[in-house]
Amino acid sequence: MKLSMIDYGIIAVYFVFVLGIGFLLKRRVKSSGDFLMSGKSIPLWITSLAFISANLGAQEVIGMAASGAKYGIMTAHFYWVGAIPAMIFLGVFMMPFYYGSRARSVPEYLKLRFDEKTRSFNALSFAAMTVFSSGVSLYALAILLQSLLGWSFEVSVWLSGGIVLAYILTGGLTSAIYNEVLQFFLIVLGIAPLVFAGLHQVGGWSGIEQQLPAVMTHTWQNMGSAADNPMGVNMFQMVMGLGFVLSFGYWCTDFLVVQRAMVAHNMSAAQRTPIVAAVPKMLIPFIVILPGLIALVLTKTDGSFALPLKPDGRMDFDMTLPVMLSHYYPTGLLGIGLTALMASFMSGMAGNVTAFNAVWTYDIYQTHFKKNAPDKHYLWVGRMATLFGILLSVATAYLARSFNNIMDLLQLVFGFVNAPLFATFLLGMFWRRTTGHGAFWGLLSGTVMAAITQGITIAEGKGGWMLSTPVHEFSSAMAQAFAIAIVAWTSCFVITILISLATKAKPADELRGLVYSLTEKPKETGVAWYLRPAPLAGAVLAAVIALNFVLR
Amino acid sequence: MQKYLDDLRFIIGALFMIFALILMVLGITEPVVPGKLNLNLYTGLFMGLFSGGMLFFSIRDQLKAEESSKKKDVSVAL
Repeated sequence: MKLSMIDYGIIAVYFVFVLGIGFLLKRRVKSSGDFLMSGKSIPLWITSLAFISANLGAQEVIGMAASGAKYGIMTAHFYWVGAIPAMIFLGVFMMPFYYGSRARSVPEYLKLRFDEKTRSFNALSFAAMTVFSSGVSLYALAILLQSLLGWSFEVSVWLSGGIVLAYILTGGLTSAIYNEVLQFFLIVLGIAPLVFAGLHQVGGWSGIEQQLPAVMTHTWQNMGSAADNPMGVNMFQMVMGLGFVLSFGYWCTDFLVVQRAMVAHNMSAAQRTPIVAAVPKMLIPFIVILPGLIALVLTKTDGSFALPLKPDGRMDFDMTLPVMLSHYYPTGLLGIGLTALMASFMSGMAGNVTAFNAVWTYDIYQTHFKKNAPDKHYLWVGRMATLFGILLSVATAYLARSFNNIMDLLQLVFGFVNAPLFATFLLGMFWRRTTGHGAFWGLLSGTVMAAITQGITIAEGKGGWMLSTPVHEFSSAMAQAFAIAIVAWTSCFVITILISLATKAKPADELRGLVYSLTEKPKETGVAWYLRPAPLAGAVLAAVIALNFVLR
Repeated sequence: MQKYLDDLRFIIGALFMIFALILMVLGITEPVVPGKLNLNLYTGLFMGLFSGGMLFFSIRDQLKAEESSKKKDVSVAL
């Protein structure tokens, strides 16, 4: 791929704006609350777009196009089953506790609801996970720029890390959120023309249906048995594993996304943030998944287009989006498309770093190192945590380049920690008898059970390290991941209940505002339906059910 | 000017207006190829509409806010 001066000019203009936002917001940052929590003053439309944009990182934009080519429109399950219901649940049922408890972070809610050890377990694992994810994003960006434009790995890593550092260090979380919104529009407007041009060439959706097998153009019809679809998962694994455990575990408890709703200017806006965000979220598959399907049709019908092959002769699906950009985009639009890709990497990285610096400052440093320092000190610590987070991300990117297997292992371990988390929150918020000991040991047991399940089963050559003959072989690594999540969640749920029943619960007075049965429900009479979380959630849910039905 | 720069809609509108102008100029100067979409021109036009909308709402709201603050000042003086 060769860029012209105009394309480079477009990329430069974008970075001037990105850095400019940081400098414009600098004067607003006067306290640690301004830097780490945006002073809780961000309007709804911004928090909603930032909510999905924090997740619209590189893995999503490039990965979903790759999955679209590999699995077809079934990939949309990651949105319509694996995101929207959880986002609605977060808005309607969980935000009142996060926002109403005045916790500054998700781990701090765990401290208020349970105890210090549960908070510390979550804070430490989350901090490590965010730095790791940010580093992986940086690594992926550097590899992409190296293969597409011939940029050196070092230049890509340090330049991207430096830009993200500059705009977070100056404008704090507000700057990261503003840039996420900018990046959202850039990703949508930069990639949508590709879908438009592709559909125009292949004859629209009906053209895709004619050229590809039915299993690639239906979401539910081939889910009766795992053997009938390219994902290798059945309906139960999809709904329970992805749609319930993994999805709710991520969207309802991951501070990276929840933080965007927690900085809304009032409770109603905080509740509506994930629900409003669900509207563009349910349409994103049409931008990120369709290019994969179009690429498959073009490979079949257009002699001038082919997906690149890996050294082993299989198609390199990860290159779907970059190859499509270079196939369709002329000078000018190519610069915008590439900027959109770079923006998606930086958006993911900035989201992780801003979540890391808040958790490090409030849940680790203030709790374990220096409790009652002046606010200026915590502002300084927040800034240092940002610098430290970026440097660790750069180090992780270098580590990923040298030891890819270590990265796979780390990803697996973090998956084990994350899988049971939603059971802890569900019980903590809706069953007042849940105790701190129950929550902590439940989380630990869920993590251990996840590791054991992975160790005694095998899929696509992965897992099975505990036994010479694994007890079960899954049809795909995805099916194994869903099964691990279900086992981890269930064991956390059961162990938390058993230990809670055997230990002393907190008195009711200490749980007000933290548990459903002890929290006053807000009265919303005389407010338009679209301003109330529950009716709005109902409308969004109906829309997503309709989408599933149309493409069933 | 500072109040406009504080509004994210204005910043988004300005950035995409620059992109739209670049794409439209490139699209207009591109040779016409029968049967091939002029992606630069169409995307530039769409971005122009989007950024125009963003700028319009941002400027309208800033002017409204200015007017209401002027009215407040007058009523306080009275």
